[in-house]
Amino acid sequence: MTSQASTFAVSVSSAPSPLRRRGNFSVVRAQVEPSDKSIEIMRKFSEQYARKSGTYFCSDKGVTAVVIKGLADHKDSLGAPLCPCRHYDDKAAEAAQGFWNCPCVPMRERKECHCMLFLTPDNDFAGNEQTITLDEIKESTENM
Amino acid sequence: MPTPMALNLCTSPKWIGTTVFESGSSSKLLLGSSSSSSTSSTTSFSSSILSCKSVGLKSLSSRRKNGSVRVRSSLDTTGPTVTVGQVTEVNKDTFWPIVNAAGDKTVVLDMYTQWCGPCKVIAPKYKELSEKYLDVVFLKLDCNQDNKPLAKELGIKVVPTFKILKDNKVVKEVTGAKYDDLVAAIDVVRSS
Repeated sequence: MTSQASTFAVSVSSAPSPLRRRGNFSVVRAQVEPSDKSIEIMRKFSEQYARKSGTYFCSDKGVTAVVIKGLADHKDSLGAPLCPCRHYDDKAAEAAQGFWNCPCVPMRERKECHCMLFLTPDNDFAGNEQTITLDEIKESTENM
Repeated sequence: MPTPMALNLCTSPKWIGTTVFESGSSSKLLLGSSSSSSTSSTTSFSSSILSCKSVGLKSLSSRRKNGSVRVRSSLDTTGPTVTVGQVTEVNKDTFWPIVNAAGDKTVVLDMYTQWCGPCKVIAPKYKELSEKYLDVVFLKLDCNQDNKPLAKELGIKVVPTFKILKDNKVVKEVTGAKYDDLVAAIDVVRSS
C-alpha cells in the first residue's frame, strides 16, 4: 500500500440531495417590491430629469430599472426617493434633510450620479436613450 | 470503529468526495474522482486545507462485492464552513465566525443593497474573481435593516463598498463598483 502526500483542493458536490435538504433549510428572504404607483412616479421623473439635465440612461437598461425601483422603494417607505446606492445611519433623518434625495446634490451640482441612473454622454456606460418603459423595468427586474 | 474526521474547508464543487470503509480495517478518507475507487492508497492533505473537528457523515451507501462499502458523503459539519471558489452570502451572525475560520486567508466582503444598480453590474465580475482566486474567501452582505449593526460596525457610506480583511481585521477598503481598484487591492493584501 503506497501512501502519497499531496496537497490538492478538496471538492464536495454542492448539488442538492434529499439528505442535504432535510437538515438545511434555505433562508427565505422576503424581497419587498416597491408599489407600482411609486415605480411609475419615479420612472416618469427619471425620463423627465434625464431630458432636463442632458444625461442618458445606462446602455444596460437593467441598471436603470434597478435604481428606479430603489428610488420607488424609498419613496414608499420614507416618503422621499433617497439614493439607493448609499447606506444611511438614519434614513428618515436623511430623507428629511434632503441632500441624498434624488436628484441629489452631487447630481444637481456636478451631474455626478454614482447609481449610474443619469449618465453624461461621455460616460463609457451611457446609452443613447432617455426613456424607459414600465415593461422594460418589470422585465429586467423580474428575477430579483 | 473509524474515527470521524471533519472537513472544515471546502472548495467550489467539481467532483464528489467519497469515504471508503473497508471491512475489517480502519476507514480511509479518499478524496478525488469517484472513479478511482479500487485503489487502496491513502492521501494526506495539507493542513491549510483541512482541519479536524466533529462531523457527522450522512450518506447513502452501497455494499460492494469485495466487502468494502462505498459511501457518498454529504458532509454535515458543525461550525462555520469556509468556502472558496464561490461567493458566500453572510449576515450579521455568520460574518465574523467565517472570518475567524478563514484563518490567515484573505477575505473580501461585498457590501451591497437590494436596489443598487452598480452592485448588479459588478456582481458577476465579483463571482468570476471568486472562481479565479482560490486562496481568497469571497463573501457578500446585504446591507438591509437586519444586518444594519454589522454594516455600522464595518462602516459604509457608498454602496457598494468592498472590505478586505486579513487576520480578523479590515485592512483595505474599496468604495464604489471599481473593479480594477478591487483587483489591485486584493492583490496587495494577498501578497502581504
